[in-house]
Amino acid sequence: MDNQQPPQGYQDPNAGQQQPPPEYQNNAAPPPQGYPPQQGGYPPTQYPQGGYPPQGPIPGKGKAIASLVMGIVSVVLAWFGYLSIVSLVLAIVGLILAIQARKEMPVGTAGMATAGMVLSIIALALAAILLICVAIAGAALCAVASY
Amino acid sequence: MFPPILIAGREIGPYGIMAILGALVAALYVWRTNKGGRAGHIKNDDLLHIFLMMVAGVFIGAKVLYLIVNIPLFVRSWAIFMAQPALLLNYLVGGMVFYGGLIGGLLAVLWYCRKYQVPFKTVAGLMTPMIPLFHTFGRVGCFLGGCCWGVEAHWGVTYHYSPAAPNEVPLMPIQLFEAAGNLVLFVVLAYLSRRLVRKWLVLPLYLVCYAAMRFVLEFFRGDTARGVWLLSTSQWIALGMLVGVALLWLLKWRKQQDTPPEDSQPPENPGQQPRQAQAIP
Repeated sequence: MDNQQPPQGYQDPNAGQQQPPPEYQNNAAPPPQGYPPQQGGYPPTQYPQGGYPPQGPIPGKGKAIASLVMGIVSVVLAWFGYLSIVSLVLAIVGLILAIQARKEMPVGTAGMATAGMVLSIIALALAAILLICVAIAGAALCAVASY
Repeated sequence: MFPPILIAGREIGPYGIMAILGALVAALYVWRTNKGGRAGHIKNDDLLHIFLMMVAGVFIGAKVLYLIVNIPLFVRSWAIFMAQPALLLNYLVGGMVFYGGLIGGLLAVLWYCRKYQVPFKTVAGLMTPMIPLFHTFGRVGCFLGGCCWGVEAHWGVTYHYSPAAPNEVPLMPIQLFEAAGNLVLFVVLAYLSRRLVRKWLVLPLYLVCYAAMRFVLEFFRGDTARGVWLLSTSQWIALGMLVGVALLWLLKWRKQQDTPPEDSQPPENPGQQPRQAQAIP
């Protein structure tokens, strides 16, 4: 049988408590301790100090922020007379951005997009209710204006 | 007209309340149906997104078509609007057209399904019945709010405080007739979406049935003339829907006729003898 070097980083959990397996008995260096045997022999991943993997830009984050801002503004504007038409437009745009952000962002990171979506829905409902009441009266006024 | 409800100092009209109620009932229906799975199934996240996209598309489409239809009025009343800007705001704010909302909603759903690879046919089979369900509530809201009124009829309903419909005149409650028609359509489509193998067929069925119903009911609408050359805008769109669905059906049928069946295709090697079935010992 060939004497094979253990893969780098391999650690026998039972080192020091019992003799190492026969294939390692003739090696100069005993296997290191602490790590369970790994199938395939790959070394454990080395992370930089702090323990977290490096983070890149999160896709859809800009859209999530925009949808949140639009949701907040549209909820506020919905209460002010004819500004509810602006609220309606902002709520629709905020809703579309929130949906796109929720699809693009990784699972578990789309909280801001969800908040933007909820606020946009509330603003849409408010503006629809308050605006439609104005709209029916407006239609009557327009009918009068055309004669 | 049903009086508005006062909430936090704001008047809330009955039409808006019925529209919100209709949207909630439609959402509940589609969520339960998706959970049951008999009319098709998609992920809950996609279901929510598609529903919201449809709502956004309905608002945009309904408003855009309303503005397009009222361009002649806008041009005719330009001087009045310039003198009284509040009237211009009322014009911009007032009114929506159902067919515009339907087209806008369908386009929004199509866009989402293409962008995020959700099967449109599954969505069509699952969500089409909720359209007439929502519309039922909307038409009841029209009746309560006093808009989209019918022609004069001595047996009809008389409004006293309507800001839109003529008061002290008995009018046919055409809104309720259309609400009843939509309710029947919903029941039929909900049943078929569970029974049909090709569930997406409920969408063209809805388009055809609603177009026919709307075309007939438009003749009994009493609000101001809306349209071009004898027919109203909605009647022209209804005709367009009927023709469009018929054309698509014809194209699909021709394509099926042009594709030969598998057993009539020639063998790959003309000189090769056909394989004979071997007897089972």
